[in-house]
Amino acid sequence: MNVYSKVIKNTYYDSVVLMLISKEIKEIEDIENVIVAMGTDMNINLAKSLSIYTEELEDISSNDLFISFSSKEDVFNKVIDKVDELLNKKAKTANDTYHHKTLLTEIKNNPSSNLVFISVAGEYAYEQAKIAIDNNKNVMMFSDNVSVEHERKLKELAVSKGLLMMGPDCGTCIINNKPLGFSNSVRKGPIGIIGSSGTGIQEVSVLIDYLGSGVSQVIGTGGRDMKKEIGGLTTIQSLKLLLEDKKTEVIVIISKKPDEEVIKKVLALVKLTSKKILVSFIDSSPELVESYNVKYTSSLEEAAYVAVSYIDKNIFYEELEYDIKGLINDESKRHNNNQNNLLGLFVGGTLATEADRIIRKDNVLYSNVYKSEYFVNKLEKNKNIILDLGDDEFTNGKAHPMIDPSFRTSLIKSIDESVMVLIFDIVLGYGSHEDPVSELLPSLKEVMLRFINNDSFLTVITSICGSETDYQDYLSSKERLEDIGVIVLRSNRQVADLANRLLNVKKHKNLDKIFNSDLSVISLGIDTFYNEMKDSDINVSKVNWRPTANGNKKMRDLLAKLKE
Amino acid sequence: MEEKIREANSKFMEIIKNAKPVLIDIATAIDVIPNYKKNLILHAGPPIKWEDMSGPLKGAVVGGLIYEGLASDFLSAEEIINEGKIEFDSCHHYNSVGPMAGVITASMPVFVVKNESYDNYAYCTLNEGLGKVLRYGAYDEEVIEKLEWMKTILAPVLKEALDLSGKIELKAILAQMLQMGDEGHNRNKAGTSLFIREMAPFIVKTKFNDEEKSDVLAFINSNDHFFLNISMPICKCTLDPASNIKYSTLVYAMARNGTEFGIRVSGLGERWFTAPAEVIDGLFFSAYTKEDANPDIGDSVICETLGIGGFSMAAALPIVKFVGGTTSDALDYSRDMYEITEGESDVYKIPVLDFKGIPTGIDIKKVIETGILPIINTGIAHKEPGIGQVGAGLVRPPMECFEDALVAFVEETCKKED
Repeated sequence: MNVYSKVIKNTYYDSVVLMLISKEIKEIEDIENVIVAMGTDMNINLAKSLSIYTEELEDISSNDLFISFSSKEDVFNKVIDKVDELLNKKAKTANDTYHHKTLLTEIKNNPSSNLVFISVAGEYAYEQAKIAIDNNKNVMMFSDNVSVEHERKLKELAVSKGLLMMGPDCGTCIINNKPLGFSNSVRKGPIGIIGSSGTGIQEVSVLIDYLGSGVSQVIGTGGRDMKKEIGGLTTIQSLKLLLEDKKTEVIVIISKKPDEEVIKKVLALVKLTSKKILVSFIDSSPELVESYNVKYTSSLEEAAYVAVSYIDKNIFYEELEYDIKGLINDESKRHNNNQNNLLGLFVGGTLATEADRIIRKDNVLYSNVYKSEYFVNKLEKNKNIILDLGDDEFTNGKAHPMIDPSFRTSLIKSIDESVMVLIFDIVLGYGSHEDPVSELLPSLKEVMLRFINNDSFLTVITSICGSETDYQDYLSSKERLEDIGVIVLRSNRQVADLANRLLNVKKHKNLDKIFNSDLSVISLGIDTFYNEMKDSDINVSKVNWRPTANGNKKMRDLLAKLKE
Repeated sequence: MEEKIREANSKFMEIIKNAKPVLIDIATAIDVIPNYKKNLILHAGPPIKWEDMSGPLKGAVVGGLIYEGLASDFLSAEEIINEGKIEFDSCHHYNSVGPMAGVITASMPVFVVKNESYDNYAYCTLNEGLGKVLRYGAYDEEVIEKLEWMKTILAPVLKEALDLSGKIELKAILAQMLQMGDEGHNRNKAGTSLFIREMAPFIVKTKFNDEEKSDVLAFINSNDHFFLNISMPICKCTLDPASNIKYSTLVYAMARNGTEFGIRVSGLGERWFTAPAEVIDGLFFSAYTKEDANPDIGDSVICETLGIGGFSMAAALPIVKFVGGTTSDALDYSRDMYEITEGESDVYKIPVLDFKGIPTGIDIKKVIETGILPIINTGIAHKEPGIGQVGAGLVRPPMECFEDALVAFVEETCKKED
């Protein structure tokens, strides 16, 4: 019979735990007697009486843990390992893997919680948020399909209690530099962001990081906050907070199509501050904003540059040209005559909106970004189209395209030959797919090859909304795309701008064509002209035309009405 | 708005393209036409009251009542009509079409044509032949006897033959006809020939005696218009599923009752837009003149609604011998129709136009914009009942129908917008 013991100094466990462990060790083969206990006099005497006292136990104190046992064989290591295992296991269960079944109970059992992140189905979200706010918790609500009335109620309640109600439809926050929802790994710094558009926030934050600066707080307010029905409640509250926040020197406010009266309410707050305030409001009046002494920026990219320039005097914004002329020259040479259109496939709503605004200035554009007009929900030939694939009509029963890229992939495969340039966004960061580029590469390769085999060329341009510390590897993503011939630019604005220039070059080319081909005329009207042209050896045909509706004004007016 | 109209019209064209018309049966009107009643008389064209009916239609109605045994002559027929005992309605309201007067009564045999893509049906009587016939308003003993023979021999023989052969695919026959010199409205010689060719082996196999079978074959052989009564329901069952498409400006029915011409527009539901029917100016037989002619009558203009008939004149150049003009005119008439239609058929083609598909989908907007009205190829009836056909010619619908439809369309769509 051998006796072994070990002392672990300065380690306390309660007697019940240790007794249970002793019991388990006793089950090990060959063990005769065992004690696992604290080195109190009582326990040492017990060991002596069981004849398992050894000299290792001489200097023991009551704050030390000891293991002593007798066994036939040498199972010392086995025993020590087992004790270790059991001690650690016990430690875990003490923390509880049980989850409460209601928010209220969880709140009661988790008093140090300060934020409830709600992503349940919209119809249930209001109730849960109300419970959270009633119990003095801040709320971030990812859920949408919550009514305007409910949103207003929640926000008014939260404001009255000095709590933040971020959402509904809030997908992106960085609070105390911790990423929440779809967000990126961004440096700490003195720039605060308040936004009602998720990918708008993401784009600005990653560009700030790229330019060497960082963020203090990034507060999402939910998509409707800057509409008059909500009145900017969370934006105003957040702005007040950031104006007082010592760590924030610059504040960026981002929104898609904010209502004018809300802009006024919000900007009225910044009259007396010395902090630098700037906005990125897609679709609103620069004059209105600047009248409050607030800087108006016309793109998300510009907002990031301006914000950082207030911190770092070496950074200033110019619309970067890179070798844009060379690039345009090269790309446009390779398009054939039938390619005249742009297709944009976006997973970020704000990025789609920003691209839409830039392209729409010079071109007829169909998109689902502005619901009031003709609603495009499929790819049609011979049209410039931009689709926000995260929109409700595409995500029914499917995961959001930032998480599941398969729908966009299938659309890419079906691009038709009238398309000249494809633009899209890649969103990295928390919440997004673990490697969006790997999902897109095969279908991009396939479609680009198909174009080449048909004597044409598809220009593909993208920007990666990500930071170099995001886990999906920004640099490798960029490289893999460039390897197959995709043009990767730094920002969404640059992508849309380059695409727009290519469209303009094509239009100019088309215009130019007439001077380089044989004149072939269709004559519509007086026969004299037709005859003269014929006599001059011009290739001419004529139309046997009659006045529209035989001149009937009433009918012509009705027909015109239908053409609207 | 323009986009909404465009999308609705595309839907219309898609439905037309999908049609699969087949002849599945010959049956008695009251047995097979849904909601039919014993005292119901259907007629061609938009709804019309007895008092307003023209000669040929009145004659056909009288003939129908005599055939049903409800009257013995014109006066007794008029009596029961005035007593309110007879109900009149448009063939179109009962999934049916009828040529010229187009009268259908309860015990008449009808072709049953089914559109297998949308499971809808269209019905039409069997063609009596030329001369003094019911559809031209004749109602004497000879007419009634022939109708009886059609009921007791012709229809049952064909029905049994059809049971033996199984359903007849009609799309293929119509497509072939157009490439053999028929246009499906006024020239149906090739269609009739293809039909009799297909049915003959099965007619022979029916249990009727040789005399009866031979009479049936001879009857069909003697009537170059036999297939018209199948062309018409082919068109009707193809167009019916395209009715009621919100925002569509395309026409799904045209018809005349001898007094008024009516059209129906898909985006305007069941409404008829009517105006006085024109008198046809064409080629008249022997001593007849325009003075003798009845205004335009018949559901057969459903052919032009789909794009055969007058629209396909280029496929049937010999028709100019009956309607007047030159072959060059015939080509031009067809070509003009492409100006007022939404698209072309992918299956019915015109060889001389390089196998261009027939012009399909009459757009009321285009008709008004261009001032070009649909061209119709038609027979001319004598305005007195019972005399028969007096000629053939070209006619157009009144522009008023299209103008009224446009006004209504704009009103409705603007109302919806608010």
